[in-house]
Amino acid sequence: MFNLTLSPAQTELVIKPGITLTQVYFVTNNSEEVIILTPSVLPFTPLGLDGSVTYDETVQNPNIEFSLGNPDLKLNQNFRLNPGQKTELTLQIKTYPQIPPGDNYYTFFISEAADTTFNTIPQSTARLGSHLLLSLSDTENPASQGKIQAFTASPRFKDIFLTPITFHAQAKNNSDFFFKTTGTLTITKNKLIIAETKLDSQNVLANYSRNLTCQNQQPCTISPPFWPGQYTATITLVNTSSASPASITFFVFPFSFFLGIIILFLLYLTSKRLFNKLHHASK
Amino acid sequence: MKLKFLLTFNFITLLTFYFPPAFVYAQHFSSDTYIIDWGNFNVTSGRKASTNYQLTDTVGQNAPGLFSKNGYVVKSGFQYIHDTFFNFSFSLENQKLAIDFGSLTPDIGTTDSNIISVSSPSGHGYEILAHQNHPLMAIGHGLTIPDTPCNVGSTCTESVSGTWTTSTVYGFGFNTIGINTSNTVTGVGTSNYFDNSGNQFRQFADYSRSENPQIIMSENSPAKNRRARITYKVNISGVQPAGSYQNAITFTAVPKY
Repeated sequence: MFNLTLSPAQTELVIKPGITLTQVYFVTNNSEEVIILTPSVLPFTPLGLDGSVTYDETVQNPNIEFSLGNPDLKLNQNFRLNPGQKTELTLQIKTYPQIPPGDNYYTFFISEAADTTFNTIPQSTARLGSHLLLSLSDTENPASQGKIQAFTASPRFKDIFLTPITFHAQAKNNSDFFFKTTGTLTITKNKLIIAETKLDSQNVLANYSRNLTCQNQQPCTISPPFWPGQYTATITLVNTSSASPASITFFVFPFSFFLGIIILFLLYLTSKRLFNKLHHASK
Repeated sequence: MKLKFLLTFNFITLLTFYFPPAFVYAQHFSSDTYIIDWGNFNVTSGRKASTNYQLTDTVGQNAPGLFSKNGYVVKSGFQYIHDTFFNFSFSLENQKLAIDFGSLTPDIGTTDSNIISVSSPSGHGYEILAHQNHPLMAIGHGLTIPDTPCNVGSTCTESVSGTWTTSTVYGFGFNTIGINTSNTVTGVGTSNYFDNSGNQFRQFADYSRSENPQIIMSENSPAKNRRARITYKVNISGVQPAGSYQNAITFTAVPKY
């Protein structure tokens, strides 16, 4: 049984080209059996808008080399982990001085080795990965450029009661360095702040987009009741050098209020007619 | 004069006694097996922000490098770990790695299953991808049991699920259905890929045909002990040559970045 814990699950590093550094990973065998494992490193590219990754057609940067600092182990070489055992794997990341500035993304994998003595039937194996986001930069705080796109409110025309309003938006990264979606969603009416919530801090990788969510990875929503009128929703990112705030407007109308009045009026008319009919009948 | 001197001397002695000088290290890090004491102070370090600028800095250090040991991460000089999150776990309950279909009977689908479990208690969720090295293949013959196409009119591929209930549809496929700790079907993490009926299947992404591993389970928020049942299904026709068919299936668990 494959039952592993890998720590840390993600590492984000800003390093100067030419530096060699070390990242320690801890691998724990949570099972009651010996597991044969293989460490490896693969580059990844982002997939979609929600933090997914893909490993296809991703080319290894020739200016970055990975190796293990453990004296008795190399990358892509099997090692044995006893039940309950925790071990340290020291990944050495060597960067060459000529590497162009920008981000490089990798996953450090621990794979279960296939059982070669057992190859007459199908086998299933597992591997567990930890992401490594490397920013190669001559400056300590590389500049990123982002913008908000596809910002919508749903529904745009809303009743004062009933369902909440949900906001959707994406952060687009137009630079070679990832940034975090630190910022706020602010709802204003007549320049008064009605509601303000923090954005969830997610990584937007270089030259990719990501859906925004609000605090605690919840959808960005505001709940009724609302006062009728025109509202403005503004998203502000604070950690990119060029992301200007993005705003949209939405409208709240007292649909249900008017509907209630109409229903009451119709009820009044109906009961009045009924009353008149009964009155005439009694005469 | 002498009295003044004695009073001052006693006062300083008492001060020294009640407020002794402490041993000071510029920086001290320790774990069960290591102690690191550095002989330099940071003048300043950390994240700074104003309306127009953001800065993370360390001023005053003279030993740039990155060191980590047993939970300690030392950020010094020019390299920074801006953020990390810890402890990503994945299990595949499969004794001896085998998927055991036993002897197959034509026109009767045979299944086997594994339970997978994932914990990503911080960060932004997880995803599990799956692929096979090649279709089920008879060793030495090169004969294969092809990937299932699913029922006529309900085509499935490695990225699209389809219904597979017809006994005359042959092949090899799988599904993944989220379950809780009592093995009750919940669909959590898997409902975007398979319905909860157990009749929907997909082909494994096939490395030998340059197909990319496909996501079969995912969530966008932290999750703990999330479980799913993988059901493998194979169905052969009466003309399928006898033999031992095998392949290798890999499940990959990674956090969402």
